[in-house]
Parts: sequence; structure tokens; C-alpha cells
Amino acid sequence: MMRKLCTTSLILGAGIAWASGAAAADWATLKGRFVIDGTPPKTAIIEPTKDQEVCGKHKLYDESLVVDEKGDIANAVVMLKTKLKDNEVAPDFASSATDKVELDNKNCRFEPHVAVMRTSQTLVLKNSDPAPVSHNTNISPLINAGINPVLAAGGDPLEHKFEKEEGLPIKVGCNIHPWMGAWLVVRNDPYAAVSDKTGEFTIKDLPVGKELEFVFWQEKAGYLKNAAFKGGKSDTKGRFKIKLKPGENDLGDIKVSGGLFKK
Amino acid sequence: MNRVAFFRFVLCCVSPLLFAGCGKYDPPQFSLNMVAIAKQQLPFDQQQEVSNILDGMFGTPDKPFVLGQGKSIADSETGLDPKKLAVAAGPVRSDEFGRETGLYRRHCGHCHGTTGDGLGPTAMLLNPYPRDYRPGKFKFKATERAAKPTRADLELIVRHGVQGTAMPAFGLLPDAQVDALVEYVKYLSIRGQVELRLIDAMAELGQDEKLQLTRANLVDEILKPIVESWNTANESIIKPEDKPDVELATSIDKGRELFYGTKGNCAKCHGPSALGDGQTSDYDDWTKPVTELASDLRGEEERLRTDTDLSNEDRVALKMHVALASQALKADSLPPRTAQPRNLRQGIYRGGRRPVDLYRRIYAGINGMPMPAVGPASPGAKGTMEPDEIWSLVDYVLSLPYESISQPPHHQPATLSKANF
Ligand code: HEC
Ligand code: HEC
Repeated sequence: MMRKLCTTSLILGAGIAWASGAAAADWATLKGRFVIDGTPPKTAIIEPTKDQEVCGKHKLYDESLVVDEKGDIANAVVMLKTKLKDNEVAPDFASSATDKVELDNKNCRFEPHVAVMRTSQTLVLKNSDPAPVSHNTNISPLINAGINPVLAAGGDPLEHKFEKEEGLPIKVGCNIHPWMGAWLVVRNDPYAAVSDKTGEFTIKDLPVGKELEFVFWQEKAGYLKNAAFKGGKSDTKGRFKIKLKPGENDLGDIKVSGGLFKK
Repeated sequence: MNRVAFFRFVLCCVSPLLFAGCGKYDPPQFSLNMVAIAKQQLPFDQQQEVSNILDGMFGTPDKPFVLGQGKSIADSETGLDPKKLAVAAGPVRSDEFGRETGLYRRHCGHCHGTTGDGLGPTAMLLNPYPRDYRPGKFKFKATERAAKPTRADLELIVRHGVQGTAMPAFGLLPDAQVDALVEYVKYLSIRGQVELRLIDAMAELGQDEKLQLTRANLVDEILKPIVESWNTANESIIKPEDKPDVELATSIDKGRELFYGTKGNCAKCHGPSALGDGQTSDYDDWTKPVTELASDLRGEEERLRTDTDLSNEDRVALKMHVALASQALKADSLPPRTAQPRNLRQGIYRGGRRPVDLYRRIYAGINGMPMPAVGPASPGAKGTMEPDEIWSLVDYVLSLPYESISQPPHHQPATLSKANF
């Protein structure tokens, strides 16, 4: 509600903009950009061992660490660790509480590579690949019960909900195509984000003025420890505490030691 | 659970063991899940804490739930029957009336291990390896994929064994003994699941955080949901719709089409002639933690060898983890083997050969194994296949051993083959 008021009033003009500014100021945005500190390791190319006629046409590579030539790290996860009361979560999120979150099997890989969902939302499993490429999606949570349904080429999408929050991202695989891997973040609150291919992440509508603890995580490195950013550094468990001010809070470049990925 | 019992439990967790075996009988101890601990890189003090909490909650192999010392916390929360456990636990003995105790160690321990970790002294020689109960995953059961087995499922396994594997049939044991053994398998499994949750909870702690030994944390958060999943297994039984009334040959033809087509996708793993030679490079869920730890270890050793800019602090930490991981792999795991899809032409069905058994296997897949489900991801939702299609697959699978290419070639007469030597 608040948020929508705010955007419309911005269009309406300066007179009301002052009032809406106060509304926007109720919430904070956290952003930053993950960069590797050191030389990025070489990315391994994957030679498909099944369904080569289709999968062989796609450029498949090991996605356990995706870094571009500038050192930007994609698919790093930022999650709020602090448990919030219901009234500390921005009311705006209510409108997306029952949204569907898609995990597609496409071009012999998962899309997205890291999906984020809430326990109130529904996961939709899809297979966009052509026949004869059927997949299965094997999800192995730590707390919820696991699933491993077949997704036939040309078949309808399947739906699933996870009842409980998972403390860490959980693993997703396909047993027919063992190179395929993805991760699923299952949370009660909406405060988690994944870095895009330029290394950037944004978490919107966070509570202001309260000390919050966040954690950085990446599948190959685990917790991103000792990552330095503007005004701070994560600890040995990849965590840091911050009190957000209204509006944008930019951590700038978050420098992750290249050594963490040498595994 | 009352207050006193809880305090006794907490006391148990914090007080170190005051006496160690000085007599002749050295009571066996449960061993820690070192592969999980090494994977999560838990430091020694946290390992110790996991071990203490488990002892406090579950007692020892000789005295489950600290039997005889009053009730422990898990006693009232697990709903497990201490009398049955007492019969199954402990050293192998029989009293003057011929009543036996120590049934687990007598009949199961040499394969499944004292801790139920599948690491008994015989395990190494078997293929497949005996079940590790600790992750709480079971394959052959009437319930939805990830649901626990029912009591009846476990009784069936113990009485009939698992055909085609080393798991023997204990059909001659009296009902009461089977009952006690099943209770003990549940006990070991619940204990193992609690252990894994504790290890994860420790790993998720912040830098200076400690695990709060409160009832809310240990019982409500960790123990209760696990117990609940066991107690509700009966609600998750897969009840197939009646088999449609179609001619067998027609149903088999449809099943064959599904088996090799993209909808069933069975041939991708079971191979173009169902001989089990399709996808053979994957691992099962019990083995994956081992292969992942082994891969972490290789990376770390490589780093120690080649990374010249390692700080001293990092080098020490890496060396410690390399030591922990190599020890866990050496002492607490078996050499990894890939999961082999079944050769379906042999007509050996580990989970039972009744059509309803095979229906459930195909509908839910096989828990812990690569074999996926063609039924829905969650009960009641839409799945990839309809019940009549699954029944056709059952008919086709059951027909496979009778196809002519499944029959073994005629043996040469014994005299003839001998003459060749
Ligand atoms: C000779 C070795 C051996 C002995 C003795 C043995 N088992 Fe097993 N057991 C196995 C093997 C091997 C498997 C795995 C079968 C598979 O994965 O297909 C197994 C599997 C199981 C399973 C899991 C079945 C499932 O659905 O996942 C249970 C439960 C079990 N055994 C209980 C027992 C009990 C109780 C005893 C003692 C009464 C016992 N076993 C004795 C070898 C043994
Ligand atoms: C991703 C690989 C994979 C796919 C796809 C797959 N299976 Fe399997 N299947 C396996 C493995 C592995 C086993 C062996 C399980 C074990 O030994 O515990 C197995 C075992 C079986 C068994 C033996 C069950 C028993 O009780 O012994 C049957 C029957 C079977 N599969 C049928 C099918 C059918 C029908 C399909 C297609 C709908 C299918 N499988 C698809 C991997 C697969």
C-alpha cells in the first residue's frame, strides 16, 4: 500500500512528494556488489554425457562459481539472519505472499541457478526442453521432506510447497543429467537476495533503525568470511550487523578472497 | 515432560564423564557422525557438545534413554517404548528363563553397526552396503517418497529381508522380538536424525554464538518434528486407485511405450534393454556426503600444496580440516560406490513383487536413490503420470523377465564344460 502511494505521488508532483518522501523513508534498501579479490579460477566446460543431441548444442559450464572478467561474482546469496516480528516486515510484501516461484529445466541446466522463495509461496517446476530431454528435479532439504519428481518433456509443470524455513540454501539436482545443479532458498520472511551477473544484489523494504544481522553465502565457498565492504567486514561465519537508514544503504564493493573458492 | 527431568538432562549435557571403564566390560559407545561433522567443519568443542547432548537425550547402547536412572527427556517425547528398547539394546544375553536381550547386537549390529551407521564389521564386504539409519531415510515402504516407513513396513523388512541383497529374513523370530528390533531401529534412526540436525544447528551459529540448551531449542525445534514425522507415517500410505480393467497385453504395450518414451524416462537409467546400464555414474543419498567431503578434501590438499599466498592462520585452519576430513573418510565411511539402476530382466524386486509394491515404487520413486517419482511431488497434487499409466508400467515391468531376451542361454551339460579344462 504505502509503496504504491509513494510511486503515484512522485508522478503527481513536488507538492505531495514531500509527504510521500516520509512514506518511502519508513523502509530501507540494502545493496552491494560481490567482487573477487584475486584471480578468478578457470571455469570448467561441461561435456554432457546424456541427451547429447540436444544438450550438446548448448554451451554448458560449471556454475558452482560464476565470475565475469571484471571479477563480479554472480549467485552469491545475502540473507537476513535476524528474526523479525510480523509487524516489522513491510506490508507491501503481503501482495506477493502467495506468488509462484519458477524453477525451470531449460537448455539442460536449471534456470535460475539460485531461486528464492517464501514458505507461503509455491514452487513451480517446469521442463522447457524439447523431447527427448526429460528431467527430474531432486530437491534435498535439511529440514523439509525431499522430493524428486519426473518432469517429462512437453509435460505440465508440477507444484510444491515447503512448510518450513531452511537455514541454508538447499541443493537441487537432476539424476538423469548429473551435471545439472541449482539451489533453493526457502524462508519465512522476504529478506533474501541473489547477486546477478554483474555481482549486484538488492534487498528492498527492510526495517529502518534496528540492528539487523545478515549473512553472505556462496555455494562453492560456503559462508563468505572476512569480506570487506564500505564501512565493515563480514566475520568468520560470513555475518555482519548493520543499522539501516531510510532509503538506500550501499555496501559498495564486497571483496571476497579468491582463496575461498579454491576447492 | 517435567522440570526435574529436564534439569537432569541439562546436567547430563554439561557434566563431563567422570568415570571411564576400569572393569573388564568396556561398554560400547555410540560414535559421532564424523563425515557430517567434517563436512560442516565443526571444531572439537562443538563435536563434544553434540556428543554430550545426544548422550543426555538418548543414553548409550547399553542403556538407551539412561534406562534405570529415571526418565530422560527423550523418553516421554519420542513415544518409544523403553521396555522394547531394553530387550533390543545391550550386550547379547539370556536370563534363566531363556529370555534374550541384546537382540540388535546379536542379529543386526555386525552389518548395521552399533550406532546404526551401516558401518558394522561385515559391511565393507556387502553390495549394496547395509542401511545407515541415521539420515532417517528408508527405501522400501508403502508411504510417500520422503515419508517415514510405517511399523508394518519395517516389520516386513525384518521378517522377509530385502531380496537380492545381504539383508537376511528374520522370519523365525517371535513377534515380540521383531517388535523390539523395529522399535530399536526407530530409536537409532531418530537419534541419528537429531544428531544431524544438531550438527547443522552448530554450523549455522554465528561466530560467537553458542547453542542454547533450552527445551524450546532441543525438544520443540529439533526432536519433536522428527518424532512427529515417524508418528504420522500411517497417514502417508500410498493407496493406488484400482487397476483398470484392460487386457494385459494392451496394458503391457502401453507400459512399454511409457518406459522408453519421454514421459516415463525409465530407459534413461535402466538402459535401452532394461538391463540397468543407462545412468550408472550417480551416487545415492547415503554416499553423496562422502563423495562431497572427499572432493572438498582434494581441493584443500591441492591448495595447501600450490597456494603460496596462504596466510599462516589459513594454513593452520586448512591443515586441521584436512586432518579431520581424512580421518572421517578413513575411519567412518566405506569406499563410495555408484548407485546402479536395477536390471529389470532378472525379476528380483527388493521392495516386494506384489503389483502394489511395484506401483508404489514407480509412483514415489525410491527414497534416497536417484530413481525419481512419476507421481506428484506432494500428495494430492498433479503428477507426471496418471494411475492407469503407472499400472501399465507395473504390468510391463512384471513382463520383462519373461521376454525371450531375458532368458539365460541354455547351459552346456556339466560333463562337456569340464572336458574343456
Ligand atoms: C548380513 C548383513 C545384514 C544383517 C545381519 C542385517 N541387515 Fe538389514 N540390511 C542389510 C543390507 C545390505 C541392507 C540394504 C538393502 C538395500 O539397500 O537394498 C539392509 C537394509 C535394512 C533396512 C532398510 C530397508 C529399507 O527399506 O530401506 C532395515 C530397516 C534393516 N536392514 C533392518 C535390519 C534389522 C532390524 C536387522 C537385525 C534383525 C538387520 N537389518 C540385519 C544387511 C543386513
Ligand atoms: C534417474 C535414474 C532412474 C530412473 C529415471 C528410473 N529408475 Fe528405476 N531405479 C533406479 C535405481 C538406481 C534403482 C535401484 C534402487 C535400489 O537398488 O535401491 C531402480 C530400481 C527400480 C526398480 C526395482 C524396485 C525394486 O523393488 O527392486 C524398478 C521396478 C524400477 N526401478 C522401475 C522404474 C520405472 C518403471 C521407471 C520409469 C518410470 C524408472 N525405474 C526410472 C534408477 C532410475
